[in-house]
Amino acid sequence: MAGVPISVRDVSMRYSTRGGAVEVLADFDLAVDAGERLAIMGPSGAGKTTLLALIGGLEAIQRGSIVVGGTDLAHLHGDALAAYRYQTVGFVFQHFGLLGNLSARENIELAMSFGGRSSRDRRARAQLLLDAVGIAHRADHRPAELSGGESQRVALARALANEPRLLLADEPTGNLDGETAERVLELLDRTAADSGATLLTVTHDPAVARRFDRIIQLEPRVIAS
Amino acid sequence: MNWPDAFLAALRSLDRRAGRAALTVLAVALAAALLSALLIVSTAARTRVLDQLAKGGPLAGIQVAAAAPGPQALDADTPRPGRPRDIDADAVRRIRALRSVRSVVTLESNPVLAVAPSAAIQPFQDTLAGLDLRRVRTLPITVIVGRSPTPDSLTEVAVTEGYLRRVGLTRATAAKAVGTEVEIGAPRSFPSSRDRIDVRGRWTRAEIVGVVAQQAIDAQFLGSRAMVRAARAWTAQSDPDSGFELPSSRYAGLFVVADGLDRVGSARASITRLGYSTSSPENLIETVRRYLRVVEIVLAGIGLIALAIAALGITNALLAAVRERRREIGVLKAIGARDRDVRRIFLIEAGITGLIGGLVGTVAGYGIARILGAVVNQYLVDQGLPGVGIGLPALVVVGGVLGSAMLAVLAGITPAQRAARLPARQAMGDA
Repeated sequence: MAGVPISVRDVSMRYSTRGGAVEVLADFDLAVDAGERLAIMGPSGAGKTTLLALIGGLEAIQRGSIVVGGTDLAHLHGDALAAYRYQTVGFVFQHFGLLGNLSARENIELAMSFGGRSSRDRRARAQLLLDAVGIAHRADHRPAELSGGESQRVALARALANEPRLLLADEPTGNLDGETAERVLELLDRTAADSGATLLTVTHDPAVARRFDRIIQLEPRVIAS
Repeated sequence: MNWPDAFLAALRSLDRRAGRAALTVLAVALAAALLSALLIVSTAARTRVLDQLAKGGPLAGIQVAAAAPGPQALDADTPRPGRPRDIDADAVRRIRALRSVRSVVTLESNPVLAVAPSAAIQPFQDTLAGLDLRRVRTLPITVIVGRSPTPDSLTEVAVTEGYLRRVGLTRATAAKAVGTEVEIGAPRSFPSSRDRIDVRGRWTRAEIVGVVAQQAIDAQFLGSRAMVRAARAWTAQSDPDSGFELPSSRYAGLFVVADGLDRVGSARASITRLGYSTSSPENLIETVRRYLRVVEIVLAGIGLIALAIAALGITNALLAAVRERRREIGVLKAIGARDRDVRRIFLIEAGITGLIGGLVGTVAGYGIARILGAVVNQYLVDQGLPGVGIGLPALVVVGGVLGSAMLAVLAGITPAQRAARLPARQAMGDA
């Protein structure tokens, strides 16, 4: 399945804090080609995670527009937004985001349970993905019984469960040691390449960023008021 | 997300926080136990009180006397009867055919002379009552101790408290009378050459098998119908010129059961129109029922307050769960969960908690009621009174279990709503 192009135009985001309003993105523009692999870098507070959340439909757009694969996210709400996240986006979180009360297999199956797929189909697909990320032998283990690298592989398998056209990874190796991080990055590269999905990764690590087609650098904004 | 998947997700979530879930279930169980125990006890007490009013018979029971109705026949529960009037087979058939009548039991009697086992007690005259003892449960007859005579026995009788008083016993010591024998003689007058009535008895040595409280007929001895008919056949052969008076009515009375408590009045009116005096505690029962209803409402209110407190516990536990699981809920949304999927999981969690709590609580409530019943029964038996039967009304089971589940779901609405409205951004942590 081919990736989706992304168009971000004049996006501004502002948060209210006790110390006043903080503008993390101001009139921000970005264009990403379908299937492109983009690294997003910048210091803390620059808006990297916010940008990812906006493109992933996790956060409402305050100003500007974001169009992903022809869909203007500003027009999506409620179930339509949930359907966008389910059908188009696959997330990989720094903290893995696995549900502790479910096994590795069940975590992957859960991601497929919001679209009406049969349990048999879900189980078969989960097994395929566990094989693909090399962790089939840990299928019935819960997150607490998995190492960081194993957990992130499960998270990656879950992100791929619904064959997303857009993969968003927020510091995917932030909690991993060098060797494990390297293996996870290779897996991320390979799976993104195999699926043709557009890949956006937030990272602090220049070495990680250099593996991508393009790097953008975000700068922190000044407190607005 | 379909319901089975949401149910499994909710179960897993409860399993993960088993300690808190168990405490919440316990709170619901305690409240449900209190509510069900109160309702079971009040139902048993209600049954016992009404049973006492109806003297063990059906609430819709009507006594028909072998007498014409008095001038105020329908104005009181127990009006004064008019002049004697025979009840024959035709009268029984006509009463049985009334629309508001469900069943009719005929009562027969014969005067007897009784000799108690102790020589210190003088022989005395009384009445032997007979009826179809297979239907004793449908009559206002309560066995205090022992049992009722077997239906066809010619040598077994039950006695009333009147007999106990005569032999110097009380309700508390009624058991002492059971197993003793009493000689019962049916009288018959014979022609006599001298200027007096010559009476001879047909004597039966009968075993006292039980002591009863009964309001079916004015008699101290209760036996089988065959026993009374044998006595009556002997007495009926009395010399008609001897002046020995016998009741001419074939039946001493009838016990009629109306087709429901609300039809007692119309049944009594119909029987009165047929020319017989009736009595029934319908007004008393109706008044007591109203008071008992008030007591039940108060007790149910206490239980419901407990359940409401438990519901607040569920709300609190789920709100805490929502606070703890903000990121998890965010992740669910990030991977495609809709608001209603998240809401559904939390409501199912609440429902499961309420269902298990209600089930455990209802069973525990029944156990508590049984223990209370045993304590109360011990007291009643010591007082020479029949015990209270503790049953498990189906309404209490259904209400206890489903009511708890529904209340828990209601209690879960606010936390579920709060969880559903959490922004998906929570998946990435606070901004």
